[in-house]
Amino acid sequence: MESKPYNYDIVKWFLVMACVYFVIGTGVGVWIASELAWPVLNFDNPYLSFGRLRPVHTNVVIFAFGGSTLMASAYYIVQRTCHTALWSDKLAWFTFWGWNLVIIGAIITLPMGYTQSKEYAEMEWPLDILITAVWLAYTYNFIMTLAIRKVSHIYVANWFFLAMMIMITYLHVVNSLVIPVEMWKSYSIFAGVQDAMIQWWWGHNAVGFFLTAGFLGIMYYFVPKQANRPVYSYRLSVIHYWALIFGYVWLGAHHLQYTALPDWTGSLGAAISLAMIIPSWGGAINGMFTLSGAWDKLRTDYILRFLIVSLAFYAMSTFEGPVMSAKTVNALSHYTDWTIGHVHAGALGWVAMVSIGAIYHMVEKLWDTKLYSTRLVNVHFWMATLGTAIYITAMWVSGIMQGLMWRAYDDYGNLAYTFVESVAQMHPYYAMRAIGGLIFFSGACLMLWNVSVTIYLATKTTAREAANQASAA
Amino acid sequence: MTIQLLEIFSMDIHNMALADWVGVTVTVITFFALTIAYSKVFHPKNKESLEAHRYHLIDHDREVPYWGREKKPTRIRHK
Repeated sequence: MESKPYNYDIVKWFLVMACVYFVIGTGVGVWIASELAWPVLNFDNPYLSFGRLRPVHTNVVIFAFGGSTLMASAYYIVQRTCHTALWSDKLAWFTFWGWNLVIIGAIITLPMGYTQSKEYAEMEWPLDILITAVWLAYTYNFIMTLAIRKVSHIYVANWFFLAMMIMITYLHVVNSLVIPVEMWKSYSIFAGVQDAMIQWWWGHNAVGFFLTAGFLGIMYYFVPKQANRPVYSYRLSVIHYWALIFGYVWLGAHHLQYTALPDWTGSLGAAISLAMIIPSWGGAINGMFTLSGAWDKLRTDYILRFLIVSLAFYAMSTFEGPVMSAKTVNALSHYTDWTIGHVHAGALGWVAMVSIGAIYHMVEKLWDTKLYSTRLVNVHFWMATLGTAIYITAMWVSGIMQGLMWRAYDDYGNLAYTFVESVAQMHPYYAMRAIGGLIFFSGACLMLWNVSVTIYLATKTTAREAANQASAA
Repeated sequence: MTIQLLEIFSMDIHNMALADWVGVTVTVITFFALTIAYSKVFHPKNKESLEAHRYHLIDHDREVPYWGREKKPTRIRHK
């Protein structure tokens, strides 16, 4: 008796949409970065203002691009490592259409000004309800697929996906608790400092579980597969998992140092943040050392380069983050562009690069072909690396300069600089950031072109072969 | 130094609200759970069984679904 074949169609569709959203999300990012450098680009049009387009950028890159990549890879990995097809194809397609509906809703409503004003959770309550329904369907389908697996062991990548699914459900529902007053207007049930704490409990765990745990699941599958090597240490992966899951939920308070939040809460957040360096670096080392004895592969395998460099950025940003959470450093870094630089070291360097590596790997496997141009993959790699480096360097310099200017005093105890003077000083770095972003965005366009042509040619070849077989029969 | 450490761990038990007790309980449980996780994972007797899964992707990542007839999960033995 034959088993039901794997559902690769759902993976393919999520994968294609991830490539499309990657271009849209980074494109909007470059546009708003340019608006900050050259404000005339606002065109005095409220729909194009930074405040309205910024959440479009964050929601598209995080939830549209990141979410589509996570759904594609989770569906791909769970089937292959559990030797079974998805539990429900219908539920899987519901997640595809539902998730895309959420994204389209966000792209329409956010520029119109409909927002809950919660960072990374701006969408209004009808969309929040849809997100919950889709996410629960995704989670339930994943869990049921694990339940019907044909092997006893659940590979560690699936554990990371499962942790992400469970925690994001919990975080999203609590953070989105609101009192709706109109179709597109609601008020949070939390107020004051409690609202801020809930917001950052969600905000940092969106980073910790959506952008870290989920993508670590991707890393633990695609790095060994692309390198064709066993993972360096399974024990380290288990410790990485449990320490990350136990530790991450405590970190949110470090976003609220020197605020109305009780002082001890921020200290606790900073202390656990520093402790998190150990598991994070353990994971990064585990991924990199998987290449032990096969480092030469990096010379020729451009997909592997994306995956390994992403781990370098992961290690760097998981060291930088805890340092920034310490009160002494936070006093300088908070509210400055340093934070933006840190976020993009993680977002571009870690999340995007590991996703790009995974997408290129899956395209070859799913369409049973080679990429149209490996040379373009190499060009993309250098564009992504260079763009990220320029972006984060600009923001580091600009952020530290901002922090130092804001707290400089003269001999009489007066502020040495006005705020507008600090803004004027930022201009060259904002221009530099826009250029870094443009290079990264161009790489995303290159990827979309390369993947599209690969799929087109593979589909054409398959159709021709099918026709030949039919005529031969 | 001793006094400073005591200050860090001092608790105003009489004024602790329910939320404080929940927080303390979760903290203590997390501490012990992580200690158990670390000691189990790094205990030498568990090394072989855990590290056997390193090869899961090499040995058991399948291009096509499992073609067997078993209804129950098949236990795969690792060397």
